[in-house]
Amino acid sequence: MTEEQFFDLCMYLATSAEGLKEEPKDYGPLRLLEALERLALLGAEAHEDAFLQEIAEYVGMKQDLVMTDTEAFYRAIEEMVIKFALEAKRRATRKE
Amino acid sequence: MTDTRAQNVYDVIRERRSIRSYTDEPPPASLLDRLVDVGRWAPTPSNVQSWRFVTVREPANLSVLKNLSPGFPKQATAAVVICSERGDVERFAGTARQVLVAEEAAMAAENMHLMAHAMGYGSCAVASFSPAGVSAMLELPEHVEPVLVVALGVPSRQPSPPARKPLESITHHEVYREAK
Repeated sequence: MTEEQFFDLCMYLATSAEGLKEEPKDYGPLRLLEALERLALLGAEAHEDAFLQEIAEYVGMKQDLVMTDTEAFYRAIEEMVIKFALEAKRRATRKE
Repeated sequence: MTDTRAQNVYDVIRERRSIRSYTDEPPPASLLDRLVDVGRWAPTPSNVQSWRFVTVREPANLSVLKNLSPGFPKQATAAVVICSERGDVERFAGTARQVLVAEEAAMAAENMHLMAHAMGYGSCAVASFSPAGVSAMLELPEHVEPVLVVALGVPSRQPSPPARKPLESITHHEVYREAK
């Protein structure tokens, strides 16, 4: 992660924290997803991690659903967590 | 609808979407000038015109604006920050000052969205930003406050139309009657 990328992400989190006190509650998960997408992209690049790349792309595709279809938005988050669970299991098995 | 002009306006209104995915091509400065021009022709209560517009195209400035605006589409390549001049608002007597500020910004923004779309560009209204942070970066004087940010660029994809409530479920004629 470059100094600039690190700074941008920190600033994004700071302004999100400031804004969320008055914003719709669905924007909380949205902001976390945006931060996740940025982190996943950085992680994918730094560690050549295909899974994180896939997650970043998935988040990029799904996060706008919050504006039009909140049910699908939360379903997408759940599906993403399942992806993480399966990947975590795969990684744990690989270590054994 | 037979009149071509009316049909064109209707088509632009119906086709416009909030665009959140853009190519990396920046819009020309002339587009931003045109958008400010149509913004100032929006309805304004008592002709107050409290709006002030700050255009942002420089990549370094845009990057700061994005970081101060969590709702800003990441790939947008330009922005117009719609601000309000407090002196103008205060001259408009009454207690509805904040309503006036929001009304003016929203109506100006709508003109800008429609014009941008008609010219082949995309736009998205962004209300999620840090007013204090944006004021600092734009060096706004104390009597000017940021109200709404319009993100701009060349769309990379056109979203599908979102669902709209059926006309009959939101329209009442002469008096309001709940559906039975």
